[in-house]
Amino acid sequence: MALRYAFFPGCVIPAKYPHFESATRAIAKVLDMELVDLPFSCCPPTSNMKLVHYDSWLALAARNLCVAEEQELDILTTCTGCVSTLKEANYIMRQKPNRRRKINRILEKAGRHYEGTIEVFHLLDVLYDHIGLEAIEEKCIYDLNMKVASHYGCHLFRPSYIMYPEFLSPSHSYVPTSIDEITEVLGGEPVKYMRRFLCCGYPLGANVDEDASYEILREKLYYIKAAHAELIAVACASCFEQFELGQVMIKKKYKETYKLPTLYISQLIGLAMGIDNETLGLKEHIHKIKKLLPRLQERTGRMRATL
Amino acid sequence: MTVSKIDLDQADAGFKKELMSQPGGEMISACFMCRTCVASCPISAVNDRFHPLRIIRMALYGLKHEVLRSEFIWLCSSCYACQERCPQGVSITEFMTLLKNLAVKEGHMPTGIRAQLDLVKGQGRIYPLDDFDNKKRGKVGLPPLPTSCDVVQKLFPAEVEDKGPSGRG
Repeated sequence: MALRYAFFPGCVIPAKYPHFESATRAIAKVLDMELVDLPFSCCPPTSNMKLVHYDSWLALAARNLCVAEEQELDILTTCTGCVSTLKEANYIMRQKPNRRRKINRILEKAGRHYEGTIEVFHLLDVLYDHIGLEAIEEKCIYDLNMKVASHYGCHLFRPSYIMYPEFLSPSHSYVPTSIDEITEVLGGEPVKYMRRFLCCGYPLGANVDEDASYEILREKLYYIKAAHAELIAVACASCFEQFELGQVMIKKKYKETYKLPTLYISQLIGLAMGIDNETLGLKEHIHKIKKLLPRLQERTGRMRATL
Repeated sequence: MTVSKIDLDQADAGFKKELMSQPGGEMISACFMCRTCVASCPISAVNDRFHPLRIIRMALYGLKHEVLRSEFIWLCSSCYACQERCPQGVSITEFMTLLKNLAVKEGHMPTGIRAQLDLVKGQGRIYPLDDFDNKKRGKVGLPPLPTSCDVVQKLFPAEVEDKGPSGRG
């Protein structure tokens, strides 16, 4: 039976990077997942509502949880910001009775009440934990043969007591390995680089401190290049924007060229599954992956999935 | 960020208590100034105006005005690197969120944040979609998404309605 999820596309991806969404829907089809579209609002982001009015941020997030709960569906999001907001809201609505009462009182204005019966997952969690590496591997018709640097995005896994409590011991924080392990089954080579788990600098970009934002990115790019990576795989639209546009800004500002293509994780998987370039939107990127495409190596005896 | 002179007579003795009674601020007095937060912080590495330890100290000394009206609290990118590593269990990132919430309450909100807030309230999304976007989505086989979400306005906090930018954005 197909796995069913309430699909939470977020707001950046559907508006600015719809090809991430089409790539996600395409690989979901190949992997026999059903994505259900529901009338969600924006999550809302941790970078504004949460900083301004915590309780209202929680209430708006909980309203989205209610929409999925009504359909008895767990949420699948494609954005690191959304998963952070929705998981934190879910955590608080379940674990903090005082706050839950307060937020449910606010939700009454919208005729809603959250019971706390659903889970929230990032696409990566679903691929890694629910679908499994083996099932992904089975659907690949190409080996990537590329060196891939993973960038997970801070909010995917921090704070770990909310994002991945099951992996947490009192003295340890948690860092994910899912993109690297997925890269391996796609026939690519994951590379490790310094500052892998640190911020990309995106939140400082708009109106806060652009110099610091690009300085942080520049260091990451430097270490990615030093590790001989040929492309960057991300799980977050904001991080994507930082790597994609940031490289242009860094060329202007520091006269340094990196030319590293950045792919969203569903595009990378789609590539190995042989999904057409149009659906994956590879042409939409500034730093093209075209030069790397001849490296794809066909696997023998594999059939291309029909979409 | 430089603090040339600190006049503790001007400090707000109740500020520490106010902070410690709210989520995110409970553990700040446990800070033993080891600077693990500063060493972990990608922002501190490139901008010395941002210094988590200093912000915690200022808050503990009751320098309410200086902290809440500052630009530097908004430099935090909320990446949680410091919070994950703090050996004393201070929820530093959550504490920064609390400070920003209080700063807004006092009327200090950066221009960029105000603009984003208005978008969320108006269209229910920070990147609003219009019919043109939906047409574009249709061309690549994606279903249309709602262009507005009225229920967001019902849940929107009245308290921040009149809070304009602090002019420091």
